[in-house]
Amino acid sequence: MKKCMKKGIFLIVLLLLAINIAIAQEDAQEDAIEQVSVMGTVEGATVRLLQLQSSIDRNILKGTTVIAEITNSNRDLNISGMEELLAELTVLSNQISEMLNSDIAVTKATEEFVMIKQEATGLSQEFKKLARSMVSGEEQERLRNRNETSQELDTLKEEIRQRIMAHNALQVQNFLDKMDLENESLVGLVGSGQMNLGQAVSSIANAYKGLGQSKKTEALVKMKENKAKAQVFKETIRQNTENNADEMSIRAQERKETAKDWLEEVKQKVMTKAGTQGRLNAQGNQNSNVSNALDNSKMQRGQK
Amino acid sequence: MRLAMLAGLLIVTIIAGCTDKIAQDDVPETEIEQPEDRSAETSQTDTSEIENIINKQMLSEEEYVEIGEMI
Repeated sequence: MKKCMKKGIFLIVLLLLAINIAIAQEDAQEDAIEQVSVMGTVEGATVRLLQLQSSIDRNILKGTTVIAEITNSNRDLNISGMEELLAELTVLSNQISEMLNSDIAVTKATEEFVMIKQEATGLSQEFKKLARSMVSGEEQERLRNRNETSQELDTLKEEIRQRIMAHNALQVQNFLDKMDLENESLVGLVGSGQMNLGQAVSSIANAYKGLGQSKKTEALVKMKENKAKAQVFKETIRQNTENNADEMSIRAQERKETAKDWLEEVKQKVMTKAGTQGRLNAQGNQNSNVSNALDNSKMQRGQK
Repeated sequence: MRLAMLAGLLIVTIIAGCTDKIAQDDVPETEIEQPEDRSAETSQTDTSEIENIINKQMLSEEEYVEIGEMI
């Protein structure tokens, strides 16, 4: 009787866990879908992909610090699972770099954005779970609050900022065209970052208010067409990326294999390098060296 | 009998006519001006809608793509 009850409780816990994971994945997908409405243009798609890459690279950097902290505290803990997860995140970041350097269609790039975001969220969750099982609550808090940055991340942040300004300037020009108006000064101010988003929106709204009734109607129709197109684009992406468990499973398998091969390659390089410095020393610091090499390798690839 | 019915019909018609007139007289002045007010309201709604459309197509520097924490 007790065994039966234990089995029952175990099954219920498993079921609740599965439901929880399913809800988290659905939330991640829904969140990603909400962010794709600006990805209908090359500029918008580029910004979102760079933002996703920046988040992934920041997590790789944080993950490397976490692994270094664990290995530095001389604990005999197995961190290979965490390194594999970092390697998988690196594979995702590299996929984004490849996309940005190719002539991929906007729709395909957006679908990839949704899937990579889901994958990166899942990998980060898995890493967090492993890290929390190895690091005390106090240490977790300290590591969480530690500000991680690097020259590469700062460069990426600046590139995103520049591209956001360029995207917004194009949008302002686009809205002015719909109202049959010209205002190079407004476009210039938004493009150079001298005018913020709120001010830009107010300026366009005021320009609209100043139009005659027939122009207003015409502009409103054109803008509503824009809105409808964005909605259709979003729905297309939603349909193409939902219920794709099989595809996600294949992608995960391929990613794991690429990450494993790459991790092996990095470890070999570390071992070879360490061989010249002394085998014993290399054995002692093998784990942290692999993590650092992994991070450095990522950052070199990430430079654009 | 017929006369009584005709008289009844006449009374009902008169009462209906009076009620309609009273209803028309009771329409407040502000409601008579409704078309003008509605136009101003529509214009405000259009501007809000346009602001909403613009906001959705513009990007903010503060916005970022959230993938969760590592610790």
